[in-house]
Amino acid sequence: MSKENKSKKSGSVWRRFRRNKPAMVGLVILTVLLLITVSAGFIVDYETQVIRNNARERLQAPSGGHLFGTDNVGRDVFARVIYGGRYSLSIAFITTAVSMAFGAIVGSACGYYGGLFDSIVMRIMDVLNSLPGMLLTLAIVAALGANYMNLLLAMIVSTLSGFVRLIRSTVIALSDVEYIQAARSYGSSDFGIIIKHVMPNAMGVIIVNAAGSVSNMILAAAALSFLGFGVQPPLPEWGVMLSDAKTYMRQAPWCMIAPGVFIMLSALSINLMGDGLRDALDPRLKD
Amino acid sequence: MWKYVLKRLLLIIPILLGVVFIVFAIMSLTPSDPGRLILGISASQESVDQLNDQLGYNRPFMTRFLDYVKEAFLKFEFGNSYNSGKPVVREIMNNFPTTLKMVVISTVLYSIIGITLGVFSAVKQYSAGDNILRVASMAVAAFPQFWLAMMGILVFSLYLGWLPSNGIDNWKSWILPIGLYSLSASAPLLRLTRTIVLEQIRQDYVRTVRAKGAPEKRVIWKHVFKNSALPIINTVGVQFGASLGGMVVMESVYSLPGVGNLALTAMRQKDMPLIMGCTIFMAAIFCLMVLVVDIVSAYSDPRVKAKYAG
Repeated sequence: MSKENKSKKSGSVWRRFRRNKPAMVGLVILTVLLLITVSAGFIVDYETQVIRNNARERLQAPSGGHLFGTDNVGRDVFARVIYGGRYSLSIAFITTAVSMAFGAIVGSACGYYGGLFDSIVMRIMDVLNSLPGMLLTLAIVAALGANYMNLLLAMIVSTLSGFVRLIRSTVIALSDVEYIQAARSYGSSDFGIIIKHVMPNAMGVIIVNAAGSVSNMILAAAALSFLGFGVQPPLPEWGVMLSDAKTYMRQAPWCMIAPGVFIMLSALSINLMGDGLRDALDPRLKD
Repeated sequence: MWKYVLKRLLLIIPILLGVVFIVFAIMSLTPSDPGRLILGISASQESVDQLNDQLGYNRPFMTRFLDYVKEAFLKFEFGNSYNSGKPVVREIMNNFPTTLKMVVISTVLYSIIGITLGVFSAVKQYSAGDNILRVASMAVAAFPQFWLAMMGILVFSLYLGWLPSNGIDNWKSWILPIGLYSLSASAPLLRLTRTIVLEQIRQDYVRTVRAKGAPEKRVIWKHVFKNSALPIINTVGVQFGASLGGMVVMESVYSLPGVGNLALTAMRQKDMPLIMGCTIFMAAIFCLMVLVVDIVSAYSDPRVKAKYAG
């Protein structure tokens, strides 16, 4: 594909995406969330507002001074919520990016070459896949100890098999197509064929699945931290905040609202964008 | 057909062996001290060491793994929980009815809600009802389950005082966990159903049936739905198998004595026999459910059936 053609193609994807109102709403919400999260350090002070206990101001209802109220040890809920995005969002994006990269390499190798390597890898993926729900993630975190890095590692291991399978089956479906056979008959190298011909055509499916994965990971990371198998207090992760809030639900219901709404907005914005991307990348799939 | 079923059943065994190996390997990454766990903090270091020796915790990894496999797969002997001292099998069987009850009722509920609304949404595409359902299902799917569960407690237990907030006392205790799980699970099913039905509605055969003058109700339920049912049943079936292994989040928030909560507690306490037991149990149930789903689809779809006829 020539350079001009390529930019034309991505241009038309962007044009279709831009016309999709829900997707644009999602993009705006996500951009705002990311901006707030990234600039949290300029808006509030980490030491005094996010981490330090302040017994005199505990369990205060939302007011001008504390936009979302204060929690059970007097920390500002607004300050904690905007810092919290750093954990949930980074976990979701890193997990998806790493498992997608792994899936792209291993999955395309499996699908393109087949044979013994493919069989061995797929049996391992079968095993990983047969531990339903969060079981595998829970086991890894339980063994290694609960903290940010281990949660990240555990979630990557649990997400791998989905991407390997997806990319493998896409590559298998594509490698029989005429233009791939044509490229092969020209004498293109396997690596060249995968990079230049197979991957660009598989990208649509992969990106749409990646969007779904990011939003699932946001929910999963929060749930795991909520259960105590993830980021640990006093760090202001959203799941951790909700776990604290559960004990003081009766006295301070406001502690529950903000983290929940932020989790929901992040997952929702990415779902909206994922749907928009699906329609823009492949108008035939539009519903 | 039977040959196929038997082959698939036998294939579950190596997968379970793989599961045991992986979890065994993961759990041995951590220095565990089962002697201390069983005897408590007040016991002397000597007696703890002695018990660890007795339990064989100082033997090499492969010896322990092979021993476990021999006991578990040949004698169905899964050992006793370190924490309670009771046999692992009995612990799981005590907790399973709670999970089973919850999963069966909520699967029926969310399937009915998700599928009917999904078909409605597709048939009335772009109507006000469809738009509302699309936005609502999108929003519901984005709420974390544990947050919905907590809001349920806040509103229905603390403010209104209608329903109990944890444990199981009477039938009212089931309403919040089952209701909110069904709500949360019906949203993605609605979206899936809508997409699949829309795909079918655009097919040529639907136009043909309509042209023949069949009433719309018959077109939708007799033709479109029948052709959309398979992928929907697949999804519900796999989901059913996954949640039978415990609805960790719901069971934890409402402190229900289910398998998910049992596994969670076992992991917190590094109660190795119980962790292994729960893991094998969940993986086995999940694999069996996937098999059942495959057989059902083979039976209901002649195209799939033909593939396994030999």
